[in-house]
Amino acid sequence: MNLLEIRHVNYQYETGGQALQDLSLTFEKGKTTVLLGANGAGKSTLFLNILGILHPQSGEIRFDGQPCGTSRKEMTALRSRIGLVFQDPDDQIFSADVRQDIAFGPLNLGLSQEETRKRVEQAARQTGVYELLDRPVQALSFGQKKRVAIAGVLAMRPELIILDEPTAGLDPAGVSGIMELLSDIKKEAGTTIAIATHDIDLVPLYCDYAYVLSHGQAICAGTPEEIFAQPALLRAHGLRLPRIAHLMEILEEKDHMDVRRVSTIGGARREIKRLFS
Amino acid sequence: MNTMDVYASRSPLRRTAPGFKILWAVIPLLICIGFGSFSVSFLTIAVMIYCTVLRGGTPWKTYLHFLRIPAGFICIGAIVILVVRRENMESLLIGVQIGTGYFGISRISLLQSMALICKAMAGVCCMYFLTFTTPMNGLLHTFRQIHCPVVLIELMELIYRFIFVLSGEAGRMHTAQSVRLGYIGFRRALHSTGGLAALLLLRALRRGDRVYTALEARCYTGILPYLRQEYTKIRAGAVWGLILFCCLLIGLGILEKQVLGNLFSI
Ligand SMILES: Nc1ncnc2c1ncn2[C@@H]1O[C@H](COP(=O)(O)OP(=O)(O)OP(=O)(O)O)[C@@H](O)[C@H]1O
Ligand SMILES: [Mg+2]
Repeated sequence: MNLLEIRHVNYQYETGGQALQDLSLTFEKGKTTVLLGANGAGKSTLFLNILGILHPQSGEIRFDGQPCGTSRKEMTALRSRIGLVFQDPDDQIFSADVRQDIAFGPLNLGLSQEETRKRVEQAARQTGVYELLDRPVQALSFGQKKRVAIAGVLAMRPELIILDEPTAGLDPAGVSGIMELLSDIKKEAGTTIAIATHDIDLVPLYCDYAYVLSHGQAICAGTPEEIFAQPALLRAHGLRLPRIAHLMEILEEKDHMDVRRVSTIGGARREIKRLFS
Repeated sequence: MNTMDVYASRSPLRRTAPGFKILWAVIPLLICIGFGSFSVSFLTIAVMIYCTVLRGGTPWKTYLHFLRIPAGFICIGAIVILVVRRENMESLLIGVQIGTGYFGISRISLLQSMALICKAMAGVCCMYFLTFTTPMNGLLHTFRQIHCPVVLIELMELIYRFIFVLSGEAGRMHTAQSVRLGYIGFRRALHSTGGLAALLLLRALRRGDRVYTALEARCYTGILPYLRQEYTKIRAGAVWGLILFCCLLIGLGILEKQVLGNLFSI
């Protein structure tokens, strides 16, 4: 079932060109969908349209089968079910200390102080910022702020979590930590996840479905394997294959070896074992 | 600025009820200003340093470093009182003749300026006790308790955050300009500073826009809700300590007036 549907959406900034052009995407419930695209492809703009912060000039966005309204009440209802982690954590964090900031969303949902306190501590543990709860925000590093921003959305327990480049600026352990955490949340709570990322190597590991955007249009869609089977198309739009898939491509084309185009370490291991056996 | 907050958030006193800490800082401050005497100021400074450094866990080095800045300003201010103009040399301890008058330091001006320095430093120490042991949210908590208008409190919270966002932004822009040699030579430095100031305003406006957007994405309804913090209860000993401290200060002040009152007029 599709939790979120984008149908023929057009969006144009007052000062700029067409940021989204007749864009149609679907986000399946309980799955991780990734948006790939070069800088300026329109990923962040799309997310703001989904949250009703920007309004498409034409087209329709449907969440859970219902078209998204524009009244204040409908919008608040929508935003309590969709959480967006912004690209720049400094945009999102406004409170004097970390605890207060993570509590902002849950309190807006009308939760009690006790429940909020519990959720804040849980979200902080999950994202690894528990030790930082009483710290003033300006004394945090970029990656730490990023984690706080993610915790602030997790604590709201939305049905759809949208993350705009969640792994940019995180250390390697932090990247896999966050991605594992998202997988766990997806499994346990059935949360749907949408990610925009430039970190191609993560896509085959953690994502179920992928879209390639370019100049506000969806160029191609499919499972990660299907997407990475079209290297020429990806390269034409400022993207690349995962390193492993690239290696397999070279082995196949330059060395004429009989390998399948896998894109994960596990897959490559199987292929190598198969070749040598 | 930055580090003061960080020390506050690590201080062992951060969980002590902020309202009590405000009283502990403000009442002695008012007494100091009221008397303006040496002994009151010295006692206040000693007690505040004890509370901030030994009980509040602020490192000595940091504390002295931060004390240097206001101390410099206060000393410069005191010079204005220290140097006086007299008609003859007799009433001055040291002095020089300029034109028809004599400029120099008299016994009274010396005492007065010393008293001023002590009074001001005592005030600074009182305020430092508060800033080094109380995170911003503690203060906001107290303002809420005494029913300050919500608008003011929310403004405080946002302004507090934006001071750091902006100073961080300005710092990064300054670094970016100086690594590209933007501050070599007076003309270029002026040019770069101008550019920074102009751009900072624009960036601040855009940042404000984006923060509002992000607030909306998390169901902002026009009020900033807040999570109540738990603070440790004040022990009776601490309250008696404060009362005793204040009585001691007032007593000392009156005593010194009796003794030094004559001194001033000699
Ligand atoms: N506030 C704005 N006003 C005018 N044009 C804008 C604004 N924000 C973005 N754009 C333009 O809209 C297009 C899409 O921008 P968007 O931020 O959605 O890209 P993105 O895919 O998120 O890129 P990135 O990977 O760099 O984050 C770009 O061409 C950009 O220049
Ligand atoms: Mg973006």
